[in-house]
Amino acid sequence: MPLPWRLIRCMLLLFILSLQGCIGVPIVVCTWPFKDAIRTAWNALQLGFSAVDAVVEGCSACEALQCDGSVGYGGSPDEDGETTLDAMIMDGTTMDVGAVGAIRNVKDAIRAARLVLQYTDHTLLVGDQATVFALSLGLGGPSNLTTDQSLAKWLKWKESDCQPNFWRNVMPSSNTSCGPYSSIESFSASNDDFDRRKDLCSKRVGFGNHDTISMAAIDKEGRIAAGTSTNGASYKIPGRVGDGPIVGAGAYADQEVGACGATGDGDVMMRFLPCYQVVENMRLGMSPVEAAENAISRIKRKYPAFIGAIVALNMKGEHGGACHGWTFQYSVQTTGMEDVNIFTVYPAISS
Amino acid sequence: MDVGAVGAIRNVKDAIRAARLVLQYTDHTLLVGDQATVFALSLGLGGPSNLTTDQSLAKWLKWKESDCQPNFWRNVMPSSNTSCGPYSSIESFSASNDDFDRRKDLCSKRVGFGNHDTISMAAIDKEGRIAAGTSTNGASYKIPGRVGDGPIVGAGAYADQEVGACGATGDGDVMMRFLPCYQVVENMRLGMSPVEAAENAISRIKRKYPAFIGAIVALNMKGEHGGACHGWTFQYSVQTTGMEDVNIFTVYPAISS
Repeated sequence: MPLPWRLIRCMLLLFILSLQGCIGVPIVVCTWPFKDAIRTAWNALQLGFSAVDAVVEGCSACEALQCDGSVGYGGSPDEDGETTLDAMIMDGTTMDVGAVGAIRNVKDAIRAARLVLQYTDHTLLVGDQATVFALSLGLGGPSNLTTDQSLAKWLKWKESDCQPNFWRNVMPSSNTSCGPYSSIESFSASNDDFDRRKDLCSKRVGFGNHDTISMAAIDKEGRIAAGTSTNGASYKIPGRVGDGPIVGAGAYADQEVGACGATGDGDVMMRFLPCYQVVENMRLGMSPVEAAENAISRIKRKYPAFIGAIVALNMKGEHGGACHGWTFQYSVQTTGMEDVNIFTVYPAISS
Repeated sequence: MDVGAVGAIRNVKDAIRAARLVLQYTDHTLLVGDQATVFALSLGLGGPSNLTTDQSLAKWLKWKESDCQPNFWRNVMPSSNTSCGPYSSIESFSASNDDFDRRKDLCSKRVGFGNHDTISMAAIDKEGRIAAGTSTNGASYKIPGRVGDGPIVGAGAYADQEVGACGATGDGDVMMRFLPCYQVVENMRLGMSPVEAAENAISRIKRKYPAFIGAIVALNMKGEHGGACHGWTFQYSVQTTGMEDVNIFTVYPAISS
C-alpha cells in the first residue's frame, strides 16, 4: 500500500480510538441503586461542575432522601437512639481529602466534609467538635437527626434485649442483654473467642443495616473524585466511626489511576483499606473487576463471614464490582446512557 | 487483624488503654470524641481528667499572642496567615491548583520536633505474635476535633502476622491520605526488605507533597527492621535479644531525585 494511504488510515484509526476513549467519561458510579443520587451528580457533571462538586451533590441528595435509611438523618440510631453521620470527599487530582466522623446534629455531612477539604489542611474532624466547626462556617444546624422512625426502631431494639449489638466479653452478656456493661475482670483474649466473633459478624450486617453511598466521578475535564456518606451501623456504640470517612477504606481516588467506593461491614473492612488496595491494584494493571475481587478476597481470607462490596472505576471510564456475603448492585451514568444503569454483582464462589 | 482505636478522645489520659478497651470489648475499630470518653469511663478507665497543664496552657497563650501562627485554616476571612479566628469562608472561593501548590510547600512549616511526633510501636513476642500501636496528642494548634494518622489503621501503624508491622510519624494530615503503613506491610508482603518497603512508601507521599515531613519504621517477622524519612532526620529505637539496652538507629532523608 502506498505510504500516504497507510498514514491516512493510521490517523483515522487513532481518531476513532480517541473518540472511543472519550466515551468512557464523564461518568459517575455509586454503590447500590441510588438513582436519584446518580442523576443529581450526572446533572452536575453535564453542567460542567467538577467531579468534587458532583460527588458532593450526589451524596447530599442521598442524605436528604435518607437513602435506604442508611444515609442521612433519621436512620441507624446508635445505642442511645441518636443518629450521627460519617462522610468524606476526596479530590483525586490533588489527593486532598475532607472528612467528618460521628458528626452530631448536622444533617449535611458531606457538605461538612467539604468544609474540611476547602477551609483546613486537615483530613478528618470528629464528634461534637466537628459540629462546632461546621456550624461556625455557616452550615445549617444544630438539627435533631432523630425522627419518629428512627426513634421507633431504637425503642423496638431496646425491647428486644438490645440485639444485635457490638459489645463482647462483658457482663451482663451482650448476647442476651442490654447494657450498661462492665468488663469481665478475668478476661483474656483467645483465638477461639475471635473465631466465634468472625462468624457472628454477618448477623449484624444486611440491607437497611449497613449501607453507605460511596460515589466516584470523572468530570468533563477528566478530573476524578470520590466520596461517601452514611449514618453508620444501626445500634453502634456512640462515637463509633466506620470505614465511610476513612481515606482508603470507604473510598479512594487517584488521578493517575481511578477510584473506588466500598460498602458493608465497615468495622472489619476498614482494617484492610480495600479502596486503597483497589486503586493500587489498578495502578499495577488490574482491571476494575480484578482489582475489586482481589480486595474482597483479602478480607474474606481473614474474616470469612464478612459482608461487603466494592465498586471500582478507572480513568478510561471502565467500571466493575465485587462482593461477598450478599448480592450487590451499583449504579452508573455516563455518555450514551439516557438514564442510570444498574449493574448486579454476585458474590464470588468460595475457594 | 483486630483493631481498637480512639480519636480525639477528651478528658482521658490513658488513650491507648482506651483503644485497648475498644479492641477487647467491642467489635468496632474506632470510637471518637466525647462519646469515646463516655465509653472509656463506663468501663472503668480513670477520669474524667483535665489534660491541660501549666505548660500546655502557656504554650497556647503564646500562640494566641502570636496571631495564632501557625494554624491549619485556609481560604478564610480574616486571613489565617496573619490572624487568629474566628474565621468565615471566603464566599467566592474556588479551589485552584496554584493555591494548592502554595499549600503543599507551606506544609513543612507546621511540622517539626515538638510539633508532630507520635509514638508508634511494633512488637513480636516470645510466641511470635506481632502487634502494633500508636499514641499521640496530635498536631499543636489543630482545629478541635481533628484526628490525624495516629489512630487510623494502615496510616499510623499496621501489623500482619504473615508479614510484619510498621509505625509512622510526621505530618499526619498528609500522610494518612497515603496509608503508608498499610503500603509498607504490603511491600514487605511482595518481598521488599523493611528499608525498601519504608523508602517506597515515603517516596509515594513525596511525589505528591514534596514538602511533607514524615518517617516510617518497618519490622518483618524475621525481626529485621529499617526506616525511611523525608524532611527531617529520623531516629527509631529497638530492643531485642542480645541487646543489653535500647539501641537507637538514625535514618537520614533520601536524596531527592
